[in-house]
Amino acid sequence: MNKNNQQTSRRKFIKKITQYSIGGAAINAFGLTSMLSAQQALADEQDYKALVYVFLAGGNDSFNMLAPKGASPLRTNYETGRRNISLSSETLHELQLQQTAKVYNDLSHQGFGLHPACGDLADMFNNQELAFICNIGNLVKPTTRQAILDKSAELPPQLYSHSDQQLQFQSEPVKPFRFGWGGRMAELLTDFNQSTTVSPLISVAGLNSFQVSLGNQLSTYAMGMDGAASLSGFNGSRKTILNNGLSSVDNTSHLMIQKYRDIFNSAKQAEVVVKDSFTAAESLGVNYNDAFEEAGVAASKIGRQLKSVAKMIAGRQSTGNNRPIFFVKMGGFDGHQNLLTSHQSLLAELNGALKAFRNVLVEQGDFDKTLTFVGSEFGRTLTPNGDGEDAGTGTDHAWGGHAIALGGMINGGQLFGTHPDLALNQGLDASKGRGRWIPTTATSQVNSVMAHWFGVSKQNIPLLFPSISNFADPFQQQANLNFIK
Amino acid sequence: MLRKLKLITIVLPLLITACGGDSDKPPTEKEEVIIPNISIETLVDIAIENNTQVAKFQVTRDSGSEVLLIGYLLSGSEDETLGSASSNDYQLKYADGSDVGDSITIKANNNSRIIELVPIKDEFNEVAETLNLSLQTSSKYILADSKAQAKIIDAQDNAQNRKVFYGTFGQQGDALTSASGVLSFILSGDNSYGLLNYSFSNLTSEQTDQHIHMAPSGQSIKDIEIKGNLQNWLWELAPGGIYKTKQDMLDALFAGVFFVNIHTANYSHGEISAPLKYDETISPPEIQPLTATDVDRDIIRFLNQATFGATPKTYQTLRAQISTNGDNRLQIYNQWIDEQISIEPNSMLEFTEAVLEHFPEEASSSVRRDTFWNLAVHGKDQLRQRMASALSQILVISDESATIRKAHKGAALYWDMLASQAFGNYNKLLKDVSLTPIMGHWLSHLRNQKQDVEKGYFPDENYAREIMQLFSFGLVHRNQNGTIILGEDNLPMPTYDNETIKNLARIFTGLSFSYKLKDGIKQENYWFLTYDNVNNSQYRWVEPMKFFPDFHDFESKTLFTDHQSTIVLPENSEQTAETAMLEFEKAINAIVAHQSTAPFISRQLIQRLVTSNPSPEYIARVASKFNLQGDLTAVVKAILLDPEARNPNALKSSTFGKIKEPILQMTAILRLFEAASQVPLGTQNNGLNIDINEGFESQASLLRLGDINLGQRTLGAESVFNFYSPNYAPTGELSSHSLVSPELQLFTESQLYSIINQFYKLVYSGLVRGNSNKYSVNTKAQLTVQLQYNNLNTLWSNTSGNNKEKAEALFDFVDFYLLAGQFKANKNQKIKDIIVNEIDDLDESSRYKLLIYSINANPEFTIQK
Repeated sequence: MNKNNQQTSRRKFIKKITQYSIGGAAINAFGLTSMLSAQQALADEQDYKALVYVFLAGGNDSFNMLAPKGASPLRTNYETGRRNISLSSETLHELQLQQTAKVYNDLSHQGFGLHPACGDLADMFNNQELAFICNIGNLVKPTTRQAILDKSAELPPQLYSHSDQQLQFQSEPVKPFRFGWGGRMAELLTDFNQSTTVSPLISVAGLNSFQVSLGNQLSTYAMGMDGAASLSGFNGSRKTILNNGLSSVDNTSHLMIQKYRDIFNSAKQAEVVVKDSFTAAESLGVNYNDAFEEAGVAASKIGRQLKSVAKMIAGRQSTGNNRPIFFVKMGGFDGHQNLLTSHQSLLAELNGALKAFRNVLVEQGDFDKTLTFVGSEFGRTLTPNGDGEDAGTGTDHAWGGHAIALGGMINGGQLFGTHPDLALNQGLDASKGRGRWIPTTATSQVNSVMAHWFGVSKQNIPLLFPSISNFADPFQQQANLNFIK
Repeated sequence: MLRKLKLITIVLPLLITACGGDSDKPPTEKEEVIIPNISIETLVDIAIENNTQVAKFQVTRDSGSEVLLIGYLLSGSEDETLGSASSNDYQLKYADGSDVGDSITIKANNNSRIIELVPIKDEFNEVAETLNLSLQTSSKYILADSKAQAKIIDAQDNAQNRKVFYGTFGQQGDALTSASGVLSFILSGDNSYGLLNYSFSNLTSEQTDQHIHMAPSGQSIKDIEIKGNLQNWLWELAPGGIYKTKQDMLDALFAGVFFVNIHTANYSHGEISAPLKYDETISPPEIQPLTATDVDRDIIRFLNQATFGATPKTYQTLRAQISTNGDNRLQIYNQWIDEQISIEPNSMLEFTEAVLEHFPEEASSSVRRDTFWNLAVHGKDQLRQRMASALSQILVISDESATIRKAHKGAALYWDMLASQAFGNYNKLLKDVSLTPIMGHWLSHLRNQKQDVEKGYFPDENYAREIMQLFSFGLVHRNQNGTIILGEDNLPMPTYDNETIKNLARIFTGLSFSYKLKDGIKQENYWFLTYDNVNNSQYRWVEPMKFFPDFHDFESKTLFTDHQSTIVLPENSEQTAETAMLEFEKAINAIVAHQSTAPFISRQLIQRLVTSNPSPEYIARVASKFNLQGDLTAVVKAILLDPEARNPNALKSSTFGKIKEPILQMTAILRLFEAASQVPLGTQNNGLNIDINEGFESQASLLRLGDINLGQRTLGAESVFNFYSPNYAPTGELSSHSLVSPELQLFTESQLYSIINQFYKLVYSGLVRGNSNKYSVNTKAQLTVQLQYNNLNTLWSNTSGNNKEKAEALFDFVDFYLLAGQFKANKNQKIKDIIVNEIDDLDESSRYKLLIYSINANPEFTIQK
């Protein structure tokens, strides 16, 4: 990493931007504004944070991403459950835990490793830049196996359904859905986001529940995964007609047309801002293409998405938003069949993309300011579908799963929360022997910790997560969620 | 239309033993007794109080000649918000005037009996009241169709029977205003809906909102989405506020409880209000006949709902049969639908194979994907393929899966299955779809084996979950009108839990390929775990899966509970592929017959064809045709011929209709402007010599558009959740009016640009699949699909006057065919003037290109009303 010696300090970067803007001022009637915004960029420099929410759609089999290593009862339970899809201990990349991990039933465990495809994630973990939060999932309130078996438990609606669990994972397991926690958080932090042209809610992966706001004022800006597109041949008569077409839509027009017009206008405004951001980012001297190419993810969707996010963060002075929330998505995790093969290639891609993203953030000086969270709607059953004869076997929808937190502010090298003991048909198993773990930490608890780091006061946390009072205080030691420094 | 009765004859071998003294025959070991099948059908489904029209049922038997007594039960509407007939509303009589007693009697030597539902005239204003007649089971007969339904209404809906409510606007509360206005509400003769009209002037400030409220509490009953004056706004009196039934609403209406108020910036609680008071002295207006223009527009709207885009030819064909005032239009549409149904379906598989012969080295998946454009643009079976397209967005599979992409024959056959059964029944379709190896692979019930707890393996639950959540009844119980049923705790009632899924998953165990390639030929497959790879023959992918009894779970299964009845499939001692199949069929029968399936599927089909936000009444009317089997012919007719779909005021509505799916926006342009490559399909010069069986337009040429980024590709959704959710409500005005717009979920900023750019490319350089020329004798230029401007050229030449007038005619032409004349109807002159001004002095080619680009980039052209 940094082999080209192109690491640019944040200070140097700001200096460049300042020159760039003042240079612009000399030839541009709006120079004063440019200078002001340059100064504002300097002033705000002290207080910029970005949240990058990476969603793994389909239900990541995270018990094969992070697995017990070395002879132990935990490892035995892992092998018993996973059968023909267990990963051999030797192939796992060893993790050097800063602290022994908490395991369900007042146990603890030290030996863990990462999937063979996750070598770079293991390096980041061991470099204390990355942490795992174990067995998190959607919960209405804490519950037990007994309560589930005798049907007295209050459970998230439609447990094990993709669409519902995705929605709940990105908000809370309550009905009806009203907002995503990213969207609501942006509303609470509007003071930090001054842009009138581009939303602080930016998605490089289309619309999503995470960024839905409560008040209908803030909409998600969904840009292409490689940045903002342009309209072909947008000039002369075409431009005249199109602009007039947009401006002739008024509040008597069909409501769907009004919405279409709003999206179109947002696209036009954001196009300019995003292009400025990219120009500014590319003037930094960071070679984005090389970084993602080297990690083998230049063509991957998640690689392209994270590259665009890195550029938006680097070129942030063109937006004026100091608390942007990015949504990134990678699909294909619903491994009902051929799990070993498909998971291998998915994790290799994720590993490469996160590595390249980390490297460019370090180079542009933003790694300490950017919190990257990687989660999935649910984990998968510990036990495989079908029998051991079938080479193409997979796993089914389950519940708790592991999440990743990455960034300079992370208490890296640790497993937070509580790891399940992986014992079937007892303890945390919500099912009759399939290994569907009752989450030991609610997503709302994990999200509260991130929201607080991002600027939401502890007092306001219940506005984001109304059910938070049902759980142990995430900021107390007992919750074991101190994953942010 | 009467459906043919399906009669089942069961011959039961009975063992008669000597058990009484009344037999003088010697005891025999076996004797055959034929038990008749009994069915009931509705001959006339409406009884009318004010002219004593009777409704009629007919009970029929298929065998036997003795007197037969048949027990029956009477019940009202299952939807408690609707009216139910009670015993003081009617009498049940035979045709000879005698009363029907406790049971229905079929006389000796008669095969059937007609029962009349005679309405009793009363003075009440009543909503339509439903009566269900259900035959009781007995050992004397077997019930084929056991249930029939009819309704009693006060009066027919004609001008004479309508009632007028009247009111004047005055200040609301203490508002200081000189605003005034008048209001009328015309209630239909059958009390099922009314048309609200009002006009007012002199508000002190801008109008911000408008509602119907109840007095004196002021509670809001219904939102009115349209600002300004209102004309013929349809209000279906759906229960709202404190009123739980439609009859409550009707009573409140006659009691004079409702008023309309107008909210303004100065008076946020209302500046003026007007009551709805029944006034017997006002005679209802004549029902305005449709003008010739209304009829023209309705034909285009119909074609845009039922085909891949209206064209001059399809329009003229219908127009020639419909009278000027359109009074026979429903009949002609109905006939057109019947004709469409009778057209031999085009086959995606056959067409793909024929085209592949000309591109032998190309990836078959690319050829398969492109065939959709030819089917949609040139196929004559338009309604069928449009239905296939709609069904493919409910019963989703996708060639985003590499295996399905490679197994192009299986994917094409899947499409053909949707098309060939588009007018069949949903029950059969769902069975067939469930058994395709393509679906088996997509939702992983292929090679899914029974559980073995000891060994620690369990059947995959994917298909069990999605068949309930997405392909049939959905997550929560619904009324027939699609509204959610609340349980005792006032929460929606889930239709199933994970135990149900686990039980249902066990039904789908033991399914695997029935054929495969072996020793170079197609052979039956006997190995359950035959791998899901794709070879050239693709034999395993084109035959339905079969049950392997050794891998199927034959234990008893408890499925879902619907209206207090729980579906239990008992343990099967006879463990064969046949019994496994019977159990599978029973499960699918129960899934489709679930009472929430009809509204759940009907709503989505309405959304795909007509409007994103059908009223509950519209959903109920369609769902009532679905029946237990899912009669798709009846459903599609109900969708397209419904008063709500055919309401001419829709063009002026700011909420009715839907954003066009990008592929439909594309097909409409390709059809209207006769898109063509220089490679004809038929035997013309340079043609492919494909035997197109008269299924395609004679001028059809090969349309290989390639993987254009429209955000939507037939059989190419990212997941089983389709391209968008049927419940997607964009933030802002739409969601605050509780309106959904599924298609808008596709329109992100980047996708919107991309779609416009694809149209730019089509118009200015043409579209072609990259590299397809490398696999063909044809050049890229020959394969490129270009629009043709013959229609526009003729119009330009034939229009008299100057260039401006000619350009106006061009604009009106596209407005008419793409939007049913929406611009003209709404007197939206500004855009027309700008486009006309930009194109009138251009040379021929630039003129047409700019016109077509402009309409595709214009927001107003993205809607189908």
